[in-house]
Amino acid sequence: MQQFRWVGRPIPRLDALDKAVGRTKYPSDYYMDNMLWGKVLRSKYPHAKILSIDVSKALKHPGVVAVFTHKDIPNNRFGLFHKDRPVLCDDKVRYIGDPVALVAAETPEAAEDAANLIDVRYEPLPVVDDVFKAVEGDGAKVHERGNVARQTRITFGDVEEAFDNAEVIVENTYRTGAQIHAYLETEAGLSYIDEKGRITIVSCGQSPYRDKKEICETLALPEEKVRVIIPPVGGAFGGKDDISVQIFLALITLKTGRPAKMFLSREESTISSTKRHMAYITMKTAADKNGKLLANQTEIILDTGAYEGLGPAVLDVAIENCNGPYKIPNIDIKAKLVYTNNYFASAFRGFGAPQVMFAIESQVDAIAEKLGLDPIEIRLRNVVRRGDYGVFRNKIEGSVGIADALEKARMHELWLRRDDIRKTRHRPWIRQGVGVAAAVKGYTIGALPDKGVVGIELTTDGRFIIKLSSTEIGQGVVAAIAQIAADMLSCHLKNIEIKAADTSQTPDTSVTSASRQLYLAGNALRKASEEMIKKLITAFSIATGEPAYNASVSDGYVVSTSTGRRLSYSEAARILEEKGIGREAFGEYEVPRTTPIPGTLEIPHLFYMYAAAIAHVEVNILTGVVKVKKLVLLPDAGRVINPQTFTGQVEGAAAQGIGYAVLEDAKIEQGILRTINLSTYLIPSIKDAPAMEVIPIETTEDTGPLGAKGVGEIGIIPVAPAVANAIKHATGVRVLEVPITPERLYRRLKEAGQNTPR
Amino acid sequence: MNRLHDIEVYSPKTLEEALEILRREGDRVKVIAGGTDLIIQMKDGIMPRKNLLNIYSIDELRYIRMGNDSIRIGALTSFTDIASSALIRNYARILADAANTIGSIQIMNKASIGGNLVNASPAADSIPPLYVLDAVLVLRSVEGVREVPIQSFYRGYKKLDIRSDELLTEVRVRRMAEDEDGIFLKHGLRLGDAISVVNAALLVKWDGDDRFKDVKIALGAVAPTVVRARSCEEALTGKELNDSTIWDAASKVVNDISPIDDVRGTAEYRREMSVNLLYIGLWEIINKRNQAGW
Repeated sequence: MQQFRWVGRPIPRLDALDKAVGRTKYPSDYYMDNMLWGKVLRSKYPHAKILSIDVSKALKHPGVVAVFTHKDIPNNRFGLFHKDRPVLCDDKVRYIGDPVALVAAETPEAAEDAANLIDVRYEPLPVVDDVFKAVEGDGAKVHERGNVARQTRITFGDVEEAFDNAEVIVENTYRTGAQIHAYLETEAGLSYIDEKGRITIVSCGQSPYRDKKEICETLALPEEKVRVIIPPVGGAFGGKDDISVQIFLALITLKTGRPAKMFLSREESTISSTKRHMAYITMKTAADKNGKLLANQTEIILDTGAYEGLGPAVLDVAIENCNGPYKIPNIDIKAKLVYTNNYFASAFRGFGAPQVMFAIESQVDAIAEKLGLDPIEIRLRNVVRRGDYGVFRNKIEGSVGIADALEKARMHELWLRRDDIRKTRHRPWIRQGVGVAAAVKGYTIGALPDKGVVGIELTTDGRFIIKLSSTEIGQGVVAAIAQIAADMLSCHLKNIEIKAADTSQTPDTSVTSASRQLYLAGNALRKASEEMIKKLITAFSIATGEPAYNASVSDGYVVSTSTGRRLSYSEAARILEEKGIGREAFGEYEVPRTTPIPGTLEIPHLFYMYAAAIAHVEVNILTGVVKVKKLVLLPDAGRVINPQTFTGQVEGAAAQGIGYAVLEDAKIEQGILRTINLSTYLIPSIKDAPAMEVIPIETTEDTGPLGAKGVGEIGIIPVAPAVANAIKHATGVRVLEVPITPERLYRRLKEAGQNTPR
Repeated sequence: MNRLHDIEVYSPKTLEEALEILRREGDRVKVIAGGTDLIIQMKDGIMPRKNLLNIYSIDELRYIRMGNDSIRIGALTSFTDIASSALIRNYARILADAANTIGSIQIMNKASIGGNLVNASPAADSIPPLYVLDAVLVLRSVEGVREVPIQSFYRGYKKLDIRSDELLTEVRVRRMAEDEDGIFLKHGLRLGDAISVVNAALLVKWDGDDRFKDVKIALGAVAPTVVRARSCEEALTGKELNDSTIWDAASKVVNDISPIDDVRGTAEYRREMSVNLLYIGLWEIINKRNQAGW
């Protein structure tokens, strides 16, 4: 593998110190003089008709400047796939977080008090709280178009014939819960009119250009009148992929001419923000006597709640990955995206893959057990390798590290000690076990068009400013891009400055999601760098008269390979400026894609990331408490740009995976969320985060920037099934539902007669 | 959410001043120590908005001292200090263990034992150990001093034997003797920083015959107040101890508790957890005595 000066080294992130000492300004840290506070009145009911909205009392409340309703929104439906979401509700409310009115007041107190004075008359409607009842179609409808937002069926081969010839068939129904992002910083932002008269929104988000487009469309504003800036955000995980406060802020500033601020309380954020889709997955999986997987029949129902959001794409990712990283010749997938009044589901790290991976990885484990095969061995007999054809008859041309990951897992001391660990009982009620799971997910947005632009400016003192619209949501992309840029432009890392995510100053680098911003921006940067180097060499030729083919760049200089003459980047900048050649270069990269297979939007991807995980658990059979004692993660994410950031990303994702697996239980009863704060919705504490070992499986992705691919999501995906498989190993009980909360597991153990201490 | 920026806060520097303010203001003020429960309750409107008597800077209420046959703990003593006190670790270990699980490091640093007692959550982790350690609460007012045994301090859900002019200033616990052993048990829904679904403290006195001469068991989060498990205590005292007798005794706890369903668990689950937790506790105590096991 090629060695680089910067790439591959665990260099402290450029933003680390500022974040550690509290200098970084996050969206909630912005204030201005003469600023108004925005407060949203949200629905009282999960499902109700709005009969009337009377804002007169609220308007009279001291300190109130304006109250807005749907009447103030020129185009009151938006959405990335289907425009089904109102900015402010008009005909109906469809979940308890639905916004009904917006108050702008001089203080947050006045705004909140006034919101409570708005008199909304509702006619409660039957609550659609169950996907199965929702699809029957004879009950209440969340939207006029019906409760099935999208449905599709994908088949290859003949599953029925394969079932007839199978040695073993396993069939189970799995349920997965609604995970809440629980980012450190809740949704926040500030809006104002900038020096050029543009309505400027400084807010949380994952895509400045897309947010801008939605603001312009809903408020009927011309593109040039709106500017969106996304500073470093206090966590997103997909939860800031959809619009939250942005349109509200723009509306207040548009109508009042004054700056406006919003910053949601934890409770409001938890109730209103998007969540991970609850899933109901039935899988029938067959194998021959050697453990070769023959067929997989899957039915997936995703509960998208009140609106589609990114649901159609989430459904695609669930479909695409429900067969795991395996070659299965016969598949049959029925999939539905269903509206309910439970919440509003959209993007969440893993984007449909954690749900289905829990199912398929439990299935494969069950088959191994029936056949008496080692769980890693059966996986190795079925995994895809580079050049293979996948389940959709698509050739897998990108790098594939899953076999390597599983081979390394098989030799890991934790796996080798598996049976000894199981036999060790330091208390009669403690059971220990070790489980494994594999995972796959495409990075990039598959067969959907996706391109991005990165700009480079050479400063007169010979430094580079990289301009891009990637958003720094904690993942470290900005620092990683700087590291790549220093190698591509052959200079010291300190001479790279990043300017990110301001629609008035940085080009559109597309949304920061799908684990692919490094891939996308990195490739665009490569093109921009090539362009920039050409300019530097042109300057060298002008200065020295030597031909361009003699020159190359090296550590801040253009150097002649024949004469050894050199020109510093700052001298080159001066020449480019004088000759009017310009000191800027742009690179555009369009992610390669195929045409989608019929019945899908974006399947297949050309590029996949993979991982294996081993979990060691301790189960208290008298309480149902699962303690994850150790997690080993073996992600294949291509070339590692910064080992420190890479490990951080994987460990953070895995901790979130532990939350998904055993803790995070969003209790929704008849459309009402009962766990609205962090005392009842339990995310892992430091004591719940186990020892973790991250072993990168470094493959080289030829199309990636310096061989890199994506890493943001893969760490979470194998955790829940690895934990579930470890629980099975420990107790003999297979859990079919996550989160595996203590009460839930205790009941399962009791039903199975497995809760007697001995 | 209620705002608290406009309420009055009295911040006396001495106990004497504090008692004088309490005499004068009585019910019109609410005492605040660490504020880890009170502020949230006032913001959420669970507790009425009142002016505050902030006793947090009265350092004379922060101490852990050996008394004649008790340990005296100043009401403002933080759980961090209790958990790390050698005196408490040596003579009232179950209280130190409870203090250690009460919440995050930040909560442990800020929250006080007096606050935990007066907040009177049925799930408070410090209370069951204090029940079995026969704690006495010292209540002071301008009028004088009252000493109230912990069990009579709690008269029902958040109903306390304390007058509006009185301040809880000290908690006294008995020292555990050589022939005594005990354990604190907590069942929460995550490993760190969780509110208890059930918690329990066990204190036993061994006789010379490998039986319990005396047993005290208290449980939290399973009734409107912390409760003693008298049925279990009775079933264990002086009896032969083996796996089946401790199961039977633990099972009797359902007679002593009255749990409810809430967001953390069903009543049924709490009943079963009470039994199982007591079994675990008894097993640990007996196993320690008899390392060979049985």
